[in-house]
Amino acid sequence: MFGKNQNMENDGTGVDTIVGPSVSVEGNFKGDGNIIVEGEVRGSLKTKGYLKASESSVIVANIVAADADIAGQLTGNIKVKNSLDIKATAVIQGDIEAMIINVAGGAIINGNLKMKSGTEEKNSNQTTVEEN
Amino acid sequence: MYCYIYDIFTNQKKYEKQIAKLELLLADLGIAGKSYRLNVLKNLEIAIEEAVAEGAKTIVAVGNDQTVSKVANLIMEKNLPLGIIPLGEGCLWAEFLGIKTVEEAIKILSARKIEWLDVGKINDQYFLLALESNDDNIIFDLEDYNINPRKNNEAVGVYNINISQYNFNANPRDGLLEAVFSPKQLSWWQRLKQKENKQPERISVFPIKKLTLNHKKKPITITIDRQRTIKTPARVEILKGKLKVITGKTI
Repeated sequence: MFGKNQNMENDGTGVDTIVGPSVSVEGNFKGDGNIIVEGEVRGSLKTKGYLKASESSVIVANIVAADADIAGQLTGNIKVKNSLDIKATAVIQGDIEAMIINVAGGAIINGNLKMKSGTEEKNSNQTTVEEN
Repeated sequence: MYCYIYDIFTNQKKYEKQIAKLELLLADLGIAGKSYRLNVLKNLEIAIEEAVAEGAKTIVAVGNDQTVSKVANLIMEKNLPLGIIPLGEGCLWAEFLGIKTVEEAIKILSARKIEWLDVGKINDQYFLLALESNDDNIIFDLEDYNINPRKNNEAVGVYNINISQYNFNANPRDGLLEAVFSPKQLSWWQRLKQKENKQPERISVFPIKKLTLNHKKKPITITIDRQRTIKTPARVEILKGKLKVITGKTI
């Protein structure tokens, strides 16, 4: 499968599915590979690969992925097997579970954070991460 | 035995010299076989039936994409390899197989490198290249989810081979079709008027195995391999390695 570090930013190399801003997806979307979301997804979104939800993405769905970068709006729970990067522009309304979570300053998260080791659980009603 | 099916348009005078030359080259390489020239009295189905009855081991379509598509639809269940000698306008299939000229085509036929390629099926028709539409009232129904194009798309398509102007991979050996939605790009004037230098919108690409093409209000027209049409709703699927093809390159 493809690695997260491959060049997915500009030319889409290493990407299997691109949900661009000119489409909306409704239902239970399931993929095996890497996914870029720049448009709208409603329902559920599952992939064994890497998910990149860009700033323009609007996701109203529960997400399951191996790795993920979230920079857009997400309403729903997200479960990531490995690493989750939450960008400064992200607005997440839902619970988060991952092995590693990176949150950039300015991101808005309303929900529970759970690290996958399961030893610690941190509840937050509204978490706004301030810039350093 | 090689059987050559010459499409009806190749009877035009402008192709006379090219055909005489290709027949000479075929004879030189010892693969002259038998020729079937289509005309108003002899249609393609009759020619293929005759060729198979006479023990054809390879069917060669002499013509353009339309010829290849028509021939492929008729030999799909016969397990015969398909060759192509490109003549006329619109030879994207030959180009994809690495065949640009008549001379190249004949050398490739003689070398006989065969690959099994995927073929798309829409209702009861086969397609080799793509299904395309510019109507954004289309719905892609994939059972578990739907894809709905918004109003700002200029073209939607389902590709076995990328014959579009857009940059995406469509490999006819991976057992997948690519559903592609291409947003309208801004004109230079619209771009100039924008205060921010916005990046052009990215196309959407979904690898799929089967789907139903549906419509929102009225049935819409889908173009098959840029030559014939069908109305929605239509069931589409990919048939992996369905067609034996003589190719000029490894695909």
